[in-house]
Amino acid sequence: MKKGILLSLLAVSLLAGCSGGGTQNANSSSGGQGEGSAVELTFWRPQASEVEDNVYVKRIEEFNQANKGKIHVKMEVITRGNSFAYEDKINAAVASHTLPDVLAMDGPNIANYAASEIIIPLDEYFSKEDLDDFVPSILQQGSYQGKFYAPGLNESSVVLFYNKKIMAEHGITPPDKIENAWTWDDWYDVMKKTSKDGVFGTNMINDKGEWMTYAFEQLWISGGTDIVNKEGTTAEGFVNSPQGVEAANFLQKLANEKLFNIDPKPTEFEEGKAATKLGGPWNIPGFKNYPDLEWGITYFPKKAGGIQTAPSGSWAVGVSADTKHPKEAAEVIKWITNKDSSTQLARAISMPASRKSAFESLTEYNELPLRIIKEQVTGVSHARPVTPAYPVLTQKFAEALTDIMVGADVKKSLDNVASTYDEEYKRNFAE
Amino acid sequence: MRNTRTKLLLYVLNFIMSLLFIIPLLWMIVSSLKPENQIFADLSSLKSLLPLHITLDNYRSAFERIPMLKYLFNSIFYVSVICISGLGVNSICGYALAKLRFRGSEFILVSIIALMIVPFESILMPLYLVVNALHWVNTWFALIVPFIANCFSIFMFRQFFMDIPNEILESASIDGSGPLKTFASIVVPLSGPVFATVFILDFISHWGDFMWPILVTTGESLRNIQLGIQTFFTLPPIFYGQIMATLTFTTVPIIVLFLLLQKYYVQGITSAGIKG
Amino acid sequence: MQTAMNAHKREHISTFSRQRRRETLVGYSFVTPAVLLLIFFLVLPFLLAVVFGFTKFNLLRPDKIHFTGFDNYKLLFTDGLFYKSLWNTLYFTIIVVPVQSGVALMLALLVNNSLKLRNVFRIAYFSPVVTSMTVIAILWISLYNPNEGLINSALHFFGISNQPFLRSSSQAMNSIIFMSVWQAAGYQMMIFLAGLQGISKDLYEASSIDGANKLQQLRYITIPSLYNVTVFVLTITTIQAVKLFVQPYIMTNGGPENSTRTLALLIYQQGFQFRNAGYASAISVIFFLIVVLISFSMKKFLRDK
Repeated sequence: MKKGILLSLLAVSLLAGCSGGGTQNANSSSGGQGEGSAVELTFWRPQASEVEDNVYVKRIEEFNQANKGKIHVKMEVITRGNSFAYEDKINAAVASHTLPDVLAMDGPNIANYAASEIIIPLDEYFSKEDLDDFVPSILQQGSYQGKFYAPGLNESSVVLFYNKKIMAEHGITPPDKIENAWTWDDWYDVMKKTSKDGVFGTNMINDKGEWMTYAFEQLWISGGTDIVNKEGTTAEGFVNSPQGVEAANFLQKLANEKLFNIDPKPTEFEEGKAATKLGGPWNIPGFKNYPDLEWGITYFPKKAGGIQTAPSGSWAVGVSADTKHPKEAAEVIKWITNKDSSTQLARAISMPASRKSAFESLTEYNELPLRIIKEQVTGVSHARPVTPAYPVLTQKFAEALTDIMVGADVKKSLDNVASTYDEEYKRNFAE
Repeated sequence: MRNTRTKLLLYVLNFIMSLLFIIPLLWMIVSSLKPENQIFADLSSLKSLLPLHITLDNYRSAFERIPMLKYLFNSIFYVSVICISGLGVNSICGYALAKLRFRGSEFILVSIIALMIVPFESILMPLYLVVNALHWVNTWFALIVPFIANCFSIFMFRQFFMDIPNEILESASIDGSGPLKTFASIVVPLSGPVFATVFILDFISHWGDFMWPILVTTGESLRNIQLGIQTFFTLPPIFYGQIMATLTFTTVPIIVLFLLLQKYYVQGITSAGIKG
Repeated sequence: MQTAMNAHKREHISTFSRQRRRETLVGYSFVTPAVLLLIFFLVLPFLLAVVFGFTKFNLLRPDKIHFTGFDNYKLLFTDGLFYKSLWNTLYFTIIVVPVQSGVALMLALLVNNSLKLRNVFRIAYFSPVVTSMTVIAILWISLYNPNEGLINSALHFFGISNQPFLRSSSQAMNSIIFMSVWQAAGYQMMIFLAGLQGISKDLYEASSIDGANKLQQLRYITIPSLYNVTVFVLTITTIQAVKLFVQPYIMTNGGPENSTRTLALLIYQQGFQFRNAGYASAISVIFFLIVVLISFSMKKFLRDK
């Protein structure tokens, strides 16, 4: 009896394993015969806003038109939600070898997917010139161990929004030249002055998740360090370096002195209840609902004497290792990230473009306030760490910062990030 | 006289408690009727529960953005199939475990209780492999079949059936009815509240399905209402008014179901024959 | 005579055993559909998870899965976070189970009567169960807001200073407990209510003729009649409590300082976010064994009473 169970168990695990071996590829990359003799490709991307989705639909339609009889792309939009559901679906598809030919992925996952060999390098399909047109942070986030895997469709950035009325009340003029950008101390003084009568000095998202790494890793970079080394092999001496401790101390000070609301309403800044807001271009469309709000943009604050930097990162597209048509799949990638696509997307969703050339026609970025975003994106931005153990890093880092903001011991929390990360890396990625 | 006093006391207690429990539902409904800017502006005061600026805009724009009725229909369809087939499969199983003596029944019962403990997160991936091996990905089967048999339901049926006095069952079997007939004609009519409760609890748990449908469905044709709602969470800036409108809209079917099932909660069992 | 009696006896025994055999057959046929489905879609996946527990299995590298014996278990027993999560899970369970079941029974008694508005009250108590957890989380995070939350305003009224609630490692779990009891009591109330509906009215009538008051009826009729239902409610409340996931996942993500990290959250994080399916499976197995142990000692305890 027991043997029977064990055997049938083995049988099924084999079955599951085998069906993984490529016997059935539910997602049609083996189909091949969609329209006449055209190569049929599947493309997964997470659902986004309606306008963003529409740009993709339009661009893919145009691609199919232009490649009639040769390549036909079928785009499938996957529900994403706030959680990691899209990533979980990718995991399941990897385990059962049902990945699509082309897939979208969040920037920090690229290294992870590249290290796991579920996406393939695209160097041979992009000319040097073409690659150089991407803003540096896109190349940084898309590369792993010297190879380029996945270009981004747009960029993102974090800036400091400010409430003009509140600034005027206190006689504060936020800088509009990058060399005058506020230091942490300048920003702290502003918060100190403006924080009273139910108004907070600043507002920042506090999602206990990806935002923490996305936004605050830059405080480490500004201090001349990072949260892991360049190769991504260790966090010891980086995340918990003296500069790191200083950065974390700064955040803790803001929280201690209640200069921001630790569980803010999403519309605190819009309602005039926060003098500044650490946020991104995605916030701008929502400001329209608040006609009383007069807002401006200034640079992401830097450490006094430190490096001027800003967060960056975006969704990118890559070719799955399961595809039978890498060349055609790469054509799709090139199309969906070319100058036209990048420009159209940037215009539709008011996020900065991923290509330098795209900014040529995006004239609104030549003037304030958007000029600030462009300067950050094309000049000083840094991508998040490129490491296959990123999921552990970001989770532990976010947990540590969340704890630090409510008073946990700074050094101990950061040491814990370092040791957890190093163990994970050693166990799973060091070869 | 004493009776009215008890009644009054019950009413007062119930009113106070109800207020405490109904707040989020009320907040959700009221917020769905408010203009976007008002929802969070009112959040930290009692105004958040008062519909001062009523508008149906949130509903209108929510319906424009996703095929809500189609997703709603999908959800109602597959969840109902799970629950209805579940009632049959689980109730006879629970009945056998409660009232029939056979070798291994104790073992089965213990195993069922033990299996309830397995967290869904830990079998999610292996279950996906099984369903994938059956070629069920992207079909209704994947959403329905794995969840028909349900340990909670079986155990609940079993516990309730235990309380049915053996005498009634024996008298039925003396009458010569077969076991299935005894079950259908004696047990089921006596157990309206249990069936109703199992149905609604099972329905609620699958109504909230999110993770599993994402894994096993890709296209739009099988998308359920929970996945549809996610549309409203993905667009920054997020419009909470629309979120509240869709959430309100998806809560309504459960409340309706609850009201429909209430008729099975007929006060007390009056039949004289079943005094234990 | 002798033989006749024997024959009679034999016949009696054989009807008896025939009946036994028939009952066995019916029993098996009744349980088969459910058991088969459970084997395929619950037992089998779980056994696969048990197998994975002995492997190193990165979800993104299914091709590189390999057996590592008890490595995951060795790692597990030296993982401080595992012990912390285990303790948090047990703490939550020990408090939530009696409190929530008690509140549920009370609510069920409140609405098990002929009040005209009883359906309204039932819906009210049940409404947190059917309301989306997202709504509940948004609302409670703002109620618990350390700076301007409604609960803190209420405390001010009584001269108590601001409390950090979810933002404090000593208060976060208790805040989640309080909210969970409130959120889920309606669920168990429904089950108790179904149980109360099954109690024959005659019992109450007979006892009130004997001069029993309401309290005595509760003590001597209602509570004993609910024995099987109570066992059920306590069992499922325990099982749901040990699987605590959604509330900390949405409201605290396990923090601050891991004070709300539960085993289910740890399993999810390791298995999905970190993609260490092997390690996550090992945690699941140990978790399973621990809970089985607890449930059976609890069952014994209930039986002894």
